[in-house]
Formats: sequence, C-alpha cells, structure tokens
Amino acid sequence: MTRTDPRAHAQALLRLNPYESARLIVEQRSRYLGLENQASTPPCPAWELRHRRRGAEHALQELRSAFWSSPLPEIHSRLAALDLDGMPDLAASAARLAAAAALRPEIERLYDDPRSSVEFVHELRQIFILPPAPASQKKAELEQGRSLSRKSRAARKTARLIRKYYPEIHRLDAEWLDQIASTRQRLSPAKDPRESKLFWSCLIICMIIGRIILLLLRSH
Amino acid sequence: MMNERGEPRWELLPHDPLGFFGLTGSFDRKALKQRYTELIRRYKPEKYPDEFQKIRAAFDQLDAWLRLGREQQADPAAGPGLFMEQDDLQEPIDHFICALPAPLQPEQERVLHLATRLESEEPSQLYQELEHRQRKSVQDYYALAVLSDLVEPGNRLAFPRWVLEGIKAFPQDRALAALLSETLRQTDFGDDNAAVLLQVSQVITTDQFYYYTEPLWRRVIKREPGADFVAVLAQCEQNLRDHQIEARVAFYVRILRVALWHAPDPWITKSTAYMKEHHDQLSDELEYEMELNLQLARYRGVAHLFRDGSPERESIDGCIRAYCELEEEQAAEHVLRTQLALAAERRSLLDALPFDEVKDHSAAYEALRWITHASHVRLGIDWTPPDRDAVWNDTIRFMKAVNSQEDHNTWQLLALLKHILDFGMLFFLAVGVAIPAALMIVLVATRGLRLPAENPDVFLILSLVAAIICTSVLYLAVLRKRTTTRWFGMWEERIARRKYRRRWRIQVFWFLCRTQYPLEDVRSTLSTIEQQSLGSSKTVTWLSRFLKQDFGLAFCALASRYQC
Repeated sequence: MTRTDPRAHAQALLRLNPYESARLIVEQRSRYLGLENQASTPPCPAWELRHRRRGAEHALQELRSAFWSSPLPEIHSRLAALDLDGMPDLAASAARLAAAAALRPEIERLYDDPRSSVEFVHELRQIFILPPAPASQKKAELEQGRSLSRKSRAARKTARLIRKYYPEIHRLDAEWLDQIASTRQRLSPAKDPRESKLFWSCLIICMIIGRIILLLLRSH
Repeated sequence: MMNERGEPRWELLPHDPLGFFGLTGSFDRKALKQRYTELIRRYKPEKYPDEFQKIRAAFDQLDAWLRLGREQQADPAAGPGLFMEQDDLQEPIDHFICALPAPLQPEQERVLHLATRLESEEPSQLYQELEHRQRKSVQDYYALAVLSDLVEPGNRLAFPRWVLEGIKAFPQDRALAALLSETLRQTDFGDDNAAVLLQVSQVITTDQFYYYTEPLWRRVIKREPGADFVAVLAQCEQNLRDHQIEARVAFYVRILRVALWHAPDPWITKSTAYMKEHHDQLSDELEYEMELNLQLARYRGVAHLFRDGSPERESIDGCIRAYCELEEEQAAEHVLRTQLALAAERRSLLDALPFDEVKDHSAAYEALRWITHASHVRLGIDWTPPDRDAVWNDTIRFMKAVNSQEDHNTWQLLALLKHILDFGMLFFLAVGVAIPAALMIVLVATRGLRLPAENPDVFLILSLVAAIICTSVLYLAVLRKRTTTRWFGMWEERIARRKYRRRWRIQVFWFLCRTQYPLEDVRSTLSTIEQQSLGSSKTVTWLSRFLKQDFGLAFCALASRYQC
C-alpha cells in the first residue's frame, strides 16, 4: 500500500504548518495511504477562466486577421501554441482554422481559377475563418442576396465548381455550399403532389355534383 | 502593495494578504481582481510558478473571505473563527484582520522537536506519550492525527477524529479548521463517510457544519443508497444546535443538483418545497442556482419519457445528468462539448425529435437551456442576443419567401368547400323545418280549426319565413361552430400538419441554422405578425402555432450557435 517510509512521511508532515499547508498535508497523506484524491486541483475562479478565455479569443482574432498574409508555418505554430484547454468551442474554431490553413494553397488556386466568381470566393475565404456567429451572419446575408443580389448565379456556379473540382474545400462547409449550389431548386420547390391531387379530386367531385343537379332539374 | 524596489511585499504572506495586495478593510471583489491581475501579469505562472502560487493562495484567502461576507460562511483557512457569534458575522472584515494568522511559531518548534524525536523513537511510543498527555496543545492534536496513520494503519477515522478532538478543545484555531476542511474536501472515507459526517456534526454544531461537510456529502450522495443518505443527514441535523435557516437553504440548494439522481422522491419534494419557502433568504447567485435546480428536477420527473434510445436524445440526457454529477468546471465543459456534437449532427437531432411526437419535451429543453446558460457564465462566454430589428426583418423576409412558395389553392378550395357545405346545411335545415311546419299548418286547417289570422295564406307564408329565419339563426350561431367549422378546422389542421412536416419545418430549420436566432425570438415575432395581421395568412397562423409545439427545432436552434 505504501511506498514512502512511514517515519519519513510522518516527519515530512510534522515539519509542515497545517495552517499554511493544509492542502499539501492532505495531498501527501492521501498519496502515502494510497487513497484516491478527490479534489487534487482546486476549481479555478470563474473570472480567471474568463480572463484566460479573453486571451485565447484575442489570440484567435489576431490569427484570423493575419490568416491570408502570414506564412503557413507561422500560422500552424501559432495555432499549436494556443492554450485552449477547457474551451471546447474555441478549440473547435481553432481546428477549423487549422483545416482552412491546410487548404490555403487550394483556396488560393480556386481564387485564381477563371471559372470562379472572385467576389464569392472572397466572401467564402472570410466564412472559412470567421467564428461561428459572424460566419452564419455572413452566410445569411449572402443567401438573402444582400451582398450578392446580382451575383447569385455566379455564386451558384462557383459552389458547383467547388463541389466538382475542389472536393477538399467543399468538405470545409459542404452543407452550405450544397445549399448555394441548389438555390434554384430550393427557391421553387416541387409542390406537394398530394395537395394537387386534393385540388383536382375536389374539382371533379364538384363538377359531377353540378352535372347531376342539372340533369335532375332538366328531368323535372 | 510594492516595496521601495518596486517588488511585491512577499514577507507579508501568508499572514497579511490584505497588506500584500495593498487593500484596505473595505475592499471589494473588483479591487481585489484588479490587484491580482496586475500581479499575475508580472508573475506569469509559466515563468514564476512559486510566486504565482503565493499570489494565488493570497487571492484565494481574500476571495473566500468575500464569499463569507455575502453568504455568511467562514473559510477556515482565511476567515474568522469556527464558532463565531452571529454578531461577529455582521463585521467579518474586522474579524478577519484581527484573527488572521494563527500564532503557530512557538508551537511549531515543539512539532519540529517531535519530528526529530521520530528519528530515534518508535512512532507508537510517541503516539502513546501524546495521547496520555493531560493538557494537549493544538500541535499535539496535529501530531496525533499524523501519527495515527502509522500506529493505526487500518483505521481511516483516526486522523479526522484527532483533528476533531483538537477543534473541540480549541474551537478558535484556524490551523485545525483548515486541516479539517481540506481533509473533508479531498479524502474519500469509503464506507466510513457517514461515520465521519456524524463525528463532525457532534463537534461542529453550527452553520459551519454545512460548509465543511458539503464536499463529503456530494460523495455520500453518489455512493450511498438514497435512503441512507437521507437518514444520515437527518441524524447529523439533529446534532446541530445553532444553525440559521439561510445556511441550511444554501446547503440544500448546492447539494440538490447531485441528490436529484440519487435521493428518494419524497426527500426531493420536501427539499424543493423548503427551498421555495425560504428562497428570499438566498443570495442572487443561489437563487439562480435554485431556479436551475427546479428545472433539472422537472426534467428528472420526465426523463424516462424523453429517452428513447436515439443517440441524440441519450446525449442530451447524458449531458443533463453529467451536469448534475460533475464538478462545476468539468460540467460546463461537458455541456459545451455536447452542444458542439449536437450542432455537428443537427439534422439527426431534428429527426430524433419529431414534431408529431405527443410527449412534451419542454422540461428537457428548459433544463438544457438553463445548464447551457450556466455553463456560459461559468466559462466566461459572452453571447450577445441578436438585434431585435434584424430578427423582425429577417423573419418577415423568411415568411414572405415561405408564402411565395406556398400552394394557396388548397386553402382557397377548403374555404370554398366550407361555404358550399354551410349553404347546403342551411338549405337542408331550412327545408327540414319548413316542410313539417307547413304540414302542421295544413293539418290544422283541414281539421277545421281556425287559424289565428284573417288571411290563412299570409299566416302560412309568414310562419314558414319565421321558421326558416329561426333555423338559420340557430345554425349560424350555434350549430355551425359544432359542425362545419369544426370539421373543416380539423381538416385544415391535418393539411397544415402535413405541410409543416414535409416543408415548413425544414425551411425553419435552415433559417435558424443560418441566422442562429433563438427560436423563442422567432416564435414571438411570428405571433406578433399574426396578431397584427401583417401579411396574415394560413401559413403564418399554422406555422406560428406549430413552432410553439416543436421542441426538435428548439433543440436545434440552441445547438446551432455552436456550429462551425
């Protein structure tokens, strides 16, 4: 059960002041007795977490602003240096940035592709690196045609181009790019066939009833 | 705060954290944080770990004391004595300053002497000597507690027993209090947890009992059967002599979250009622926690209905349970991870919570919403609610788009059929009333009875007209609601439900994913549109009604904030 010499353990504890080192005493005792420590790390104060978070957000923001201009190794090293422990949402954002960084040459190639819409790819580059909320807002603006009202066709064409020739980029935001690619179908979806059936059935029934009434009236 | 060389005054630690931070007796949290931040900017943990530890320990002392001021709880490591009078609690700062360092220096020498003696003497011999000493000092009790682990290796209760003996003899001593607090916080006594709690309740009979034992109660609740936990708590509370309601309510609020999934129903009902009764004695923070617990308790009652084996629902259920079981920080992280996972699989989430399901998922949704909010607060995530004008404009734009894609023939046809049926019903009713009325009048006339009018034909016609009018009024006022309106209402609802299932729901889903607006905001906007008859249509009416029942969309909207 114990590895430490009992006397050495007792002497070490007796040399500690319980007022100043209560936590350490209990930790050492648990270790000596082989007890599972229930609270080895005291909870971090909420405001300190917030402080750490602000720092991480700031670092991510700086990374975003220099994302397309900094050398790739620098971006990767800055991403690796981020301490995002306990911040799963920021870790997810960082993972997305890392994925976008890995595809940066590909995205540059798309930017230079004469078949793509420069304006749409420019917006897309922003969407790939923005945090979730602003990215969604940008997507909504694009979809509702605020920014690209006259360019929706070009956007659709580029989205299809990406799906076909740039599958890696497409995977970065497949769901949304697919929506853009199929905008026309979405704006005028097929009518529910059952509703049409209902309309025509009722119309035929009404006509038959009308015909019967006419026949009855004539026979009288 | 700094000495002449611009260095922090390390020599003031650990006894004078106030002086170290350069604060006065009336400091507040803001000032404390400001000083602390200034220092940790300079002494970063990765570069100066020792200095950081010292700063952090000093901060913890003052932070614990600030909590004490609000919640009237003592931090043994930093706060006033264990057995404070109520009046003392009114001015905890004075107490804190007066009672800060425990005067251990002369005693420390005696203990160091004991440590030296251990090199040549047997621990059991030393233990017996101390045990039989008539007037034991604080350090004797501490040494006895330490040596008990060597002399009585199988007895897990010996250590806390000696610490408690020491507290009994020296109730004002902070060293033993700190040791007890840490022991109860860190050590799991296994099957002896209940025995330790009873021991503590026999020695500490004030509000402090709740504060000291709270971490241990959490372990007891998770480990012991619910009935045993309730019995031990009742026994311990019987030993308490001088406790205030607010301390008890605060304790119940804190442990209820863990107890929800372990304690028996009657205890939960009773505790909930007790908390509600005394909620006015809680601080804002605890009141929020109580509301959160009430939401979790509500979910607990229907959790078995919510779980159905689908991974998404199991994940939500697991998240709510984990939130109750885990420590605050891990719990908040777990909630965030779950939301991220749900956001990644939001289509499956929507399918896992079908609209037509009869079960009410409001309890599960509210529980998840509350714990998500609490996790945001805990982890310092700021979430700015969307601009109201943007929600309004985007929702109207969305509704126009939905309306423009709508096949309005169905609604028009339904309205036409309803009018035809109304007219038909009216006609047949009128005929059905007029013919018997006419026959009756004819019958009366043929029997030779005198009609109450000079001109029988006019009377006959007037009677028929009156009968038809009365029947029409009766139909329009009463029967119509119960027949055609009801039938067509049901028919219309069936069609609307089908439309919602097949088209509208998925349109709203994408709208929410794109905009990340909370569903509550969209619902209220739609209700306003409906009430103000702005572009009022069947689509708006039914969509507004169905959105209020659709918790699948509500869960998706909550998760969509985390989509990457």
